Amino acid sequence: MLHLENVSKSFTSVQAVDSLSFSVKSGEIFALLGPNGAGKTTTIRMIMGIIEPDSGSLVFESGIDRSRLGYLPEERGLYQDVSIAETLLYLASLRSSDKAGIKARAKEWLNRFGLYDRRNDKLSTLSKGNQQKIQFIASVLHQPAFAVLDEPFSGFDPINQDIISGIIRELSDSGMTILLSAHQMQLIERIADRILLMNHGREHLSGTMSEIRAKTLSGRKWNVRFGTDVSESALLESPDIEHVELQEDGSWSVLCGHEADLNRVLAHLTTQGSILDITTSDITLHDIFIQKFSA
Amino acid sequence: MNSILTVAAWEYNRFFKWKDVLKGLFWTVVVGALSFFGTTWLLSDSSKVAKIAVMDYGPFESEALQHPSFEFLHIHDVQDDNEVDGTLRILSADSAIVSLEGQRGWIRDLQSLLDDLRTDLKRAELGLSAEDYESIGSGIKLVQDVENRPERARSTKLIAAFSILFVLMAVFLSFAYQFTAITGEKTLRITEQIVAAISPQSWMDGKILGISAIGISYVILYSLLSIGVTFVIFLFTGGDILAVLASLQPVLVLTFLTFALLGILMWNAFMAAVAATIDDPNSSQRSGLMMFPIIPVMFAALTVVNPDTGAVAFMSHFPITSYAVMPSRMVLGQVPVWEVALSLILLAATAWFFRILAGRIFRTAMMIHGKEPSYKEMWGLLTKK
Repeated sequence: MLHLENVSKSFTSVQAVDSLSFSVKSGEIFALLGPNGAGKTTTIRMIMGIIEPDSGSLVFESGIDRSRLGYLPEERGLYQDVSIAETLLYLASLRSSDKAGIKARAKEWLNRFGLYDRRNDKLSTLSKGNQQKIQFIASVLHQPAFAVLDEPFSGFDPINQDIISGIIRELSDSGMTILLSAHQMQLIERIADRILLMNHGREHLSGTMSEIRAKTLSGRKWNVRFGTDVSESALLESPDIEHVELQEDGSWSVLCGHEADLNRVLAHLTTQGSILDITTSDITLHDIFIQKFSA
Repeated sequence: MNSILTVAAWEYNRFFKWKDVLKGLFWTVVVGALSFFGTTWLLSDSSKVAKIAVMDYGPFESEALQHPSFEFLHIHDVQDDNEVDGTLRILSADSAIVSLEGQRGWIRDLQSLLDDLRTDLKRAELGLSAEDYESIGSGIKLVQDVENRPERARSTKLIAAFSILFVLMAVFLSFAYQFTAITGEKTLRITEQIVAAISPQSWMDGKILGISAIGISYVILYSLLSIGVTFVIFLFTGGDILAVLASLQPVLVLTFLTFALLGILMWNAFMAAVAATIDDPNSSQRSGLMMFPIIPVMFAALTVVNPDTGAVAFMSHFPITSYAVMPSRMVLGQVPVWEVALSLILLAATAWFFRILAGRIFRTAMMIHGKEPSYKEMWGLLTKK
């Protein structure tokens, strides 16, 4: 569907994207992840033709032009003084001339989000969350072949984040190719077929979730609950421990290196205080992200 | 082309609301009617007969002081000072004093009456008849017999003047919308969604067309309103509106309207280019560029002095001024067809150039937030491939 080969882009003195190459296969959900300033949005803007790459090639499958793309930008807004229905019809009609189809689908989407009764209201009267829903609808209303969703979950509460992630999976199952960027790792982990982690404009890791796990931290995460206060710096004194993080429930998430000696790690942990509970858990995308980019 | 028309229709419908327009027209008519009837009432009230007490008639007979605006009373006949509007004392044929409580409109009528009395007195002293006096006062009648200068009907001249004013009206009406339309999406963070769907040039073209159409719509509406009012006035005054319409020269009228249309498009494209460089229209120094379209009208007014100078000929072809100067030149003299055609082509080409310019600036400036590009940067944007 999309192939990037050695794409680079710089702004004045900043190299935003540096020889980035990847492909997005037809029908998959491809997640582009990275810390703030990694170059994700610049990459997405180049894909959408908003800015031109300085070098490299960016090629869509034949038959894919602007009209077959959908886009939910990170920086978004809507015409506040215009009705919901008018806004949706306008944004979709910029890409599609099938006005009857657009109207019918707009009705379906608005019904699905419980906003059909408010279709004639001005956007300024909607809550931020509902405006985000309208924004999401606008990006897929014209039934694009390839949708780029930059931070599709931002502005939503956890319930709506779940709903949106379900819809994204549904759209993908219906044949839409989706490239998304988000910071909600648990949602990405659940819906993405392939992931590319990038930083400083370059690829760091890529593949399916299991491939990424295999390449990084597979099976070496413990959740430890201590009976006494423990400091992060003391825990990290062990060379076998790569990362620790205090959880909301008061336990510590301890990530060990691939070659770590588990007996030595246990011995180190017992010297920190009395251990009340210890469990192992799967390495999540969140763990990988933190481990890779926390420095 | 489809996306350009979609944007044009969107911009047009976003700002041109029939309900608001009709409300505006209603209030225009109401204000116009109030002004007319109010002024009429005030004038009728102020035109009541003024009572003047005369202390001294000077060299004139008391019977000579006759005027429909005044009632002259001898000072001895006045019972109460409050019943008179002023007191007159004529000292001689050359001097008189009028005492009054404040400035009054009737003072001009009084001056005129006394002037006439003095003229009659002096004429009698010199033994001149009224005819002799009038003959001395009249000037020589100078008739202009201009070669190769077709006389345009007054109505055609008016159409030329109106077409220039229409451009100004449409352009100024459009400016506010143009600035809002172009800077608005930037402020509302909508830009990215649109330029991912269509090219910045298509977006800019749609805006220029849509906003120009708004200006033209207002002009058409107000023109129709003016024609309606004129028709009503003609009905009451007995004027022959059909004769006026018959005197119009259709080819000239069409030419003027073409200049007006191209002028509106050109200035809207120019303003779109300016607006594309503006981050916040409320604080931008560049808003002052909005006054540019007035300059051609000033030049057009100067063509009346002499429409045949080289400077006027140049300005009638120079696209920035031609929309106003060429129609003005055409009503004041004979302009070869090729000159008119060349002027129209240059105007259309300039409108086209400004639209490309606006698109190019917008393409880069649309993603810049929080600052305006300098003139140097703008030059960079224009020359960037």
